[in-house]
Amino acid sequence: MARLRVALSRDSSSVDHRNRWILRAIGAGARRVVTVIGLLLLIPAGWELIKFATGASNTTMPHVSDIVAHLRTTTSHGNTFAGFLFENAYVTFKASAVGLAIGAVTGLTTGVLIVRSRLVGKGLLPLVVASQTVPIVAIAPALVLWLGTSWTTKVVIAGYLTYFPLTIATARGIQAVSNDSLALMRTYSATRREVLLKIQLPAAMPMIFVGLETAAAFSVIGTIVGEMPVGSPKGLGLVILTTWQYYNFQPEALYGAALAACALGGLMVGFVRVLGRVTLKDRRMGAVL
Amino acid sequence: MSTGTTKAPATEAVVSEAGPPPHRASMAVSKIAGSVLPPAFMLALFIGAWELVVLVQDISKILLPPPHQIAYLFLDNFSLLARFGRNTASEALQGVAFSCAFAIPIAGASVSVQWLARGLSTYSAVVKAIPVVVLFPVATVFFGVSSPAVIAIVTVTVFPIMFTYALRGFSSNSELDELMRSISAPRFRRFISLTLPQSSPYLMAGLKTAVPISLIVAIVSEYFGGSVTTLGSYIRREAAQLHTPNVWSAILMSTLLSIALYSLVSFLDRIVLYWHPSRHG
Amino acid sequence: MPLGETDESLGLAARSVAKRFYSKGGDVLALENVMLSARKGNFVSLIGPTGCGKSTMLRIFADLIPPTSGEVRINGKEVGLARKDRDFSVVFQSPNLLPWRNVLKNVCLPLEVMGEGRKERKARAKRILEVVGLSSFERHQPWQLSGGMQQKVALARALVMNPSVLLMDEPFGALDEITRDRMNLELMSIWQKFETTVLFITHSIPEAVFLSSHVVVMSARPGRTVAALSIDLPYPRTQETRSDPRFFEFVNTLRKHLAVASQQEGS
Repeated sequence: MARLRVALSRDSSSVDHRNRWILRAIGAGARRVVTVIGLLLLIPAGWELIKFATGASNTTMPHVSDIVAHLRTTTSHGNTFAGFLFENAYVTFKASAVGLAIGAVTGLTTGVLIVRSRLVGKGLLPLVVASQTVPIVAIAPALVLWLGTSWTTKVVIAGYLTYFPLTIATARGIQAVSNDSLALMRTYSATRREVLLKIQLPAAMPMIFVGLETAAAFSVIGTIVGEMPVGSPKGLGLVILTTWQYYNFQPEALYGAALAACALGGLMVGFVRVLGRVTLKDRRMGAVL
Repeated sequence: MSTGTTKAPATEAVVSEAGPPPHRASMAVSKIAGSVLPPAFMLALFIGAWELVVLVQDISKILLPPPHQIAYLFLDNFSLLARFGRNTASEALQGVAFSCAFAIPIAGASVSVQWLARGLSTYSAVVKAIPVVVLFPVATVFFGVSSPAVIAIVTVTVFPIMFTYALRGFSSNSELDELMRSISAPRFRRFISLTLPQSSPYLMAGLKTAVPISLIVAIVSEYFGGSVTTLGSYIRREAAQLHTPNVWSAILMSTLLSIALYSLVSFLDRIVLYWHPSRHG
Repeated sequence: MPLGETDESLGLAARSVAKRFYSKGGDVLALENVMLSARKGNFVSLIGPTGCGKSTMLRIFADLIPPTSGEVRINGKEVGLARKDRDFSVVFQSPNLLPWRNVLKNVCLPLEVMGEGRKERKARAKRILEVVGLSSFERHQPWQLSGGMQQKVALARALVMNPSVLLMDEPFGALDEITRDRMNLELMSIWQKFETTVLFITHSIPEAVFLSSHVVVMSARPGRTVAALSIDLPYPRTQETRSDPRFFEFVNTLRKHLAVASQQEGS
């Protein structure tokens, strides 16, 4: 939120100024909340509108109320459908979190390596970029045979998709450090390790968190997509697959599962974003480095 | 201070320690070599290591086929793979085209409406977080298990990217814009002569990101269903039968396609932005 | 050109220094036969037209670029050795403070690299901040400070290592004139407390005259040292110095030298 710097003059209008400033701040905050809630409500409203306008059947586009109602029905396992979704979402979450962590560490290391040696960087970067064009999900079935469990395969796929945004983000973040800062470190006769740890990595943090957000989204995608072909025993991917197969009997289930997947993705990204805000709270990048 | 107070005589020639600069042609060659050789070398290293590992470990071909086998299969099946590849690429590019068709006008319209721009930006950030590809089943509900479903998924995935870039491109308000307004240039004229060219770097950057993504999303979507004459479904069929070498040859095709499409966009980028200051040295 | 004094008594010495840059666009001869020396404790300014290579010369002193030929010494030592011995510090035009550290921690940075213990570091940093007058801003983040104050922090950071030589590359170039005049006064009062040799690069002739004991003029590219002037105005320099008639004489003399120097285009 933009900080309004008001010159407090010494006459009577100063109190007026301050009050107006407070009102403006409250107004802006309230507006934000209203916007978010409004947009959230827009989705079901838009859904019903489209359903009405296109005359889609209840199979193609069930009413929002039906979808919500289905969440409360009991499944063969004994819990509600919502609970069932939650269980599976949790499984997916664990796998994608681990995949994210692995991808993050790998990506960070690769990013640092790329920047360290120009030759290595020139050789490695195009390969890293090209590696992302490989649809790794394609080799998932074979991967399962190799790695043994579907869980490991999921995590590997998630890690594979996340390491790229982080490599690029790290490399970009480090490269943005000004030459003068590096020159200063040289005059202190700092070792390369010191330059990396004290200047380059901290400077790259904001960029790294941006990459981490993208990576979080990718890791959820990777995990769910990985769950589908490998016959994972549990997880949102499996749920989506089965509800898809039984779609004509129970269309609401698929939409429920889809919502769960969206929620998981949103939560992961949101969590990373909050983490970023908390870690970088003291900064105002731009002017100084 | 003991320097002289008048000009120092520049009688002695400066002794340089490096030799005369290299010839211009050889510098160009070395520049190209500099950017091609390192990755080529790394690639060769990687392939060599792959072959070695497969040989030494005697890994079953189902798990990890050796590169040379993949190469043979690729050449054998080239016409098939090329045909499938073209279909996939067409789906991907159609998706990009549709998303541009939505993103650019919406961005253009919302650039002057603050709350709309902010709301849509939030939306697109949210959409980016959603695992859209896994919503392919939902797309089939509307379009059936077919190409349009794939195109729809690509469109939804690529839309936030193009929207963000387009919005940024349209909102770079500069003194040039104010100048135009001061001479009362009509809106349409302003859009054509100023806004569009001014935003083209952003649009191009958006395309460069969107096109490779569109291909991958198309393939993964096809994997779950869609026309049979596409790379994704070919991969699925072969993977299900554990014909892993075929899978890898298809992956090779997809990689080459991705590089080709990206080069196409880069080429387009260079043509469209010949005037941009970042182009000149 | 004989220097007439032994190297050890010279804080800075450059003899017949030349620098040639090779690039795909063609070669550039940035410096040619630069002769420069400063006795310990002197404040020497380097002025010259844009592009004459003053910054290049400073960077050669700082062991950031090697000279193509010639000799460069700091405290009589070869600059690489001087750097390892931490004989000098640099202040650039942009403060280059780390935005994720507060003022105190920023000043501690060189001491961390030198391997000082934590308590020692904080104590030394606090002392320096007192000298430059920023004690009450220890916990502030860089973005909370004005440009002039950020430069003072950069100066404090440079001085915390206790260098015998200070290299400053247009440190006040980005500040407005009023702030710059104030910073000049402060720099003088800070400098009096240490005995550092200073090499100061600037575009501003009045600034050079106000601060220095000697001013060296460089020609346009390729940069050559073409003139040197002794500024024998008394220290400490104050606002009154700026109204001294001899101040204006020096400024005018240098202006003439600079005009001549700007016309001399090199090869």
